[in-house]
Amino acid sequence: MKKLFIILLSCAALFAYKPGDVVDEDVAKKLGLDNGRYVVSFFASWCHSCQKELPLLNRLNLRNASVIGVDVDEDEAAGREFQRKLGLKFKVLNDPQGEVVSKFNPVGIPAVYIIKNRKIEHMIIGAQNGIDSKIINLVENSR
Amino acid sequence: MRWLLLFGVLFFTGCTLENVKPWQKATLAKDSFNQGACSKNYTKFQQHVYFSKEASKGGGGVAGGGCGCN
Repeated sequence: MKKLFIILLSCAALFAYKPGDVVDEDVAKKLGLDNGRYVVSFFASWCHSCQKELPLLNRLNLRNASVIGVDVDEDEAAGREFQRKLGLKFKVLNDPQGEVVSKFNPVGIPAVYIIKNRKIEHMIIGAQNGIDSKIINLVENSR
Repeated sequence: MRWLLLFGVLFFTGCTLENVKPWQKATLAKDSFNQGACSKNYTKFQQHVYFSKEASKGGGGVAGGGCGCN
């Protein structure tokens, strides 16, 4: 009985990706991940911090990684309009049903995951000052 | 004992709501969810009353867009 209780308590934590976890094949397919390194950013049009962070991600010019955005707006049209306004240059996956984001289950957005060979290397949750330089450091310094 | 446990689990979880996930907070992030968003005059009046009663003001707003990032 104690074991069951412990399992139930730890269930919530089990359903969120964390560094070291390997992304499901299904999710990897949806995101278009292969064996390269990717910076996956979850954002929404109504998230004020995302509005500040996305232009920085848009200007990122990484040698050995590609940026992929996941727009979690439930209103897909509003999401697309938001992307158009920002002029996002990177590939964006619209996830109005939350199919992809629910697998990652971040505790807040914006959320940035650095993934290599489908394995999560780093996770940055919430608004961060100088997110671009942090990502550059993490991506360029890890081989 | 097992039946009691089963009853307890069903009873105490029956009224629980599923947590709103961070990516589902679009509605909560709308301006209309801010206190006094509908009428500026009402907010001004309310703040005046609060200040006169409590001799302090502020603390009525929230930071961020409800995304759980701050």
